Parts: sequence; C-alpha cells; structure tokens
Amino acid sequence: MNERTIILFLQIIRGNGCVDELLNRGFEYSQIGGFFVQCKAEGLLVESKGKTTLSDKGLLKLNELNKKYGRLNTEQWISPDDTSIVKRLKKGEIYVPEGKKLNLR
Amino acid sequence: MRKCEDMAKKNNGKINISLVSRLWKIFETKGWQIDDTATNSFSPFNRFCELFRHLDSKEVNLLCNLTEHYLRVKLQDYSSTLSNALNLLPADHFRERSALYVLPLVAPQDENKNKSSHMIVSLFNDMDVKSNSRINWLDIFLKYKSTGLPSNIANDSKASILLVDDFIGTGETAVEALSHLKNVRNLLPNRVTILSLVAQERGVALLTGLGCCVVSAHVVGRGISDMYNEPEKTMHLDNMRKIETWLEVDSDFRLGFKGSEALVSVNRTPNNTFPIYWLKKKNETGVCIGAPFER
Repeated sequence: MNERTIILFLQIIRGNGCVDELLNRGFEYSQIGGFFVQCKAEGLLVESKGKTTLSDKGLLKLNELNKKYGRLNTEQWISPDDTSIVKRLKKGEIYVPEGKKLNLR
Repeated sequence: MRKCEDMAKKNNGKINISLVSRLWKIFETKGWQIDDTATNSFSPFNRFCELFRHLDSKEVNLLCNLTEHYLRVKLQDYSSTLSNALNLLPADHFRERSALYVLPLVAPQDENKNKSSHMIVSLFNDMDVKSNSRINWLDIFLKYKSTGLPSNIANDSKASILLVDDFIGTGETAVEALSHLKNVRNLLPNRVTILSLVAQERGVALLTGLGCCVVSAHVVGRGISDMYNEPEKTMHLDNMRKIETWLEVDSDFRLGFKGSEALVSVNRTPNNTFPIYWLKKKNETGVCIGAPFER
C-alpha cells in the first residue's frame, strides 16, 4: 500500500466511510480487508463496540502524511482523485483524453 | 464484478469499511481462505461483498449472522470427516459381521450418474479410512450400483450394507434408495447403515424412524427456524423471503429445497442451503452477481 493509499484509507476509517473510492482505484474488497488488518496490527485503528476509529497513532500518521504531501484544508479530509489528474500542458497544447477513459462506446 | 450498475441496489450500492472488516472476521474465525490478491474478483469473500451492495442493512445483518453458523466441508477434509463419522458408530455395530458392502446413497434413477456419493464410496480405498477401528477387520466391497450386491445378501447374516453420501437434507433420497434396496435385494432398512459427512436433523429423524442406523460427522438444524425464537424467527424468515423475491428463487427452492434452511457447503453446495448462498442473480443480459458458494 503506497502512502497516498494509506492517507485515503485512514480518511475512510475516520469517517467510517464507504470503500467505493478504493474500489475505483482498482482494489478488491479482500485487499481492502487486508489493509484493515494491516493497519490494525500497526496500531493505527481501535475497535470498540463494533465501531472502528483512528487511534492517536493513526491520527498522528494521517497528519504526518498530510504534511508530507502538502495536503491543506479540505485535502486533509478528502483525497483528490489522482486518476483524473493530467500533466500540466504547454501553452497551445490541447488535451484529448483517450476514448476508453471516457467510456465511449 | 461491478458490471451491472443498473440493477437495484437497496444498500445504495455502498459498502462501508466496518462491514468489510466484519466479514473478514467471520472468514478468519471460520478458517476460510481469503484471497487478498488483486487478481481474484470471484473469490467467495469478494462475492459476498458484491452481494451486500444489493441488500439493505437488515438483510446484510441477517446474512452475516447466518454465515457465522455456516458449515463448509471442503474436499481436502473429506477423508478425515469420513473417519470422524465412522467413529460415531457404536464400537460393536459390525461385531457379528465379516463383510461390508459400501454403496453410494443415490436415488435409483441416479445410479448411472456421477454423484458425490460415488466419491465417498471411493474414499473407502483410503488406508486411514480402511484402518478405522470400527471396520478394520471387515472385508470391504465397494459397489457403485445396488445390482452389484450378491443376490442372496438378505439371507447372509455376515454381510452388512453401508450407504454413504456427503450430505443428507430432507432424507427423501435415502428413503428412495432404501425402497430400491428392498425391491432389488429384499433388504429391510434395519439391515442398512447410513453414513453421511453432514446431515440435517430432519433427515436423520426420518431415517432413524424407518429403523436405520444413521451416523454423520455433523448434524445440523435449520438455519433460522431452529436457531431463533419468536419474534426474531418470523422477522428473519420474512427478511430471507424478501431477499429470495429479489433473487427470483423458484418456489421449490424457497428457504432451500423443501424449506430445508441449510447453512452448508460440501464439495458442491446442496440446494437445501438458502439460495442466497448458491444462486446467481441474473438479469435479462445474463449473469450479473455470482453467489458466494455457487453450485
């Protein structure tokens, strides 16, 4: 799991949110379950009465990673959709997305 | 797996992280393998999660609770489970006998088909099974059809007959098999021993009532009716019926074949098990949602 994925995963845990964003990035449910176990083993999560929240260590980790990747304001809470980011274009260049990315049939 | 976004998603199509972790714990407790590589969208774990997207929270909760009681006997465990079932026979059960005829428990019309019970017969070639203390002095004859039995077996007091299968549900197949043995070899039920890896209580009761000795490594009840008291029982049965309406289950298989309510998978999931575990959800364009323990 790369650090950007860790940020997203910890954000999901903090909000007890849905896992769709991870699925959209190509992960399977079983991999998401594996992340959960891994983060729990590292002490980043705490479970109580069937609810899962970030531990102090988990919050610290999230803050550290937000700082490392320059995430400010809402980006500390909501991960940008990396898959939609395109390289900066030179003046006069035109961006034409691939047809398959637009789900054109 | 997420092919059919147009299908109704009662859970708003969303799965939260606590549900994924709950299912993970169930799998872990059960010792069921979770393939957490990116390549297996069709693993039972991923199929469960995909299914949850189409159910509401009450239905998901019911399915999780039932899955906690679910029994899976995998093919690699057949030999040891068979030995466990043999150990449940009374120590002196075959004491007066010298020969054991092992036959598949099948309906007469299925004798020529390849059924799981034929595989159980073959397991009697396994040294661990043959050396079991309940049968190790007997001459064992494996017969795949009832007509393979000696014609005078009914009068041979040294011969014993063992019908075997991996699952007994309602017991109706076994009743047919017993009736057939009576017809072709004049064998009465009290001459026959029935062994299964897994059996439902109702099937065992039916066959015991006919005078057979029945042993099974696992005897299981009905998943909802024998597990819950009122008012939860009615509430859960109603929720399961709602799921089955959405799943478009044929009337013969509502709550499992003849309402068996089984929570069992052997090598192949029996149709006695609640259909949500084995029936694919289809739409007009073809298969959309695979069942966790598909038949």
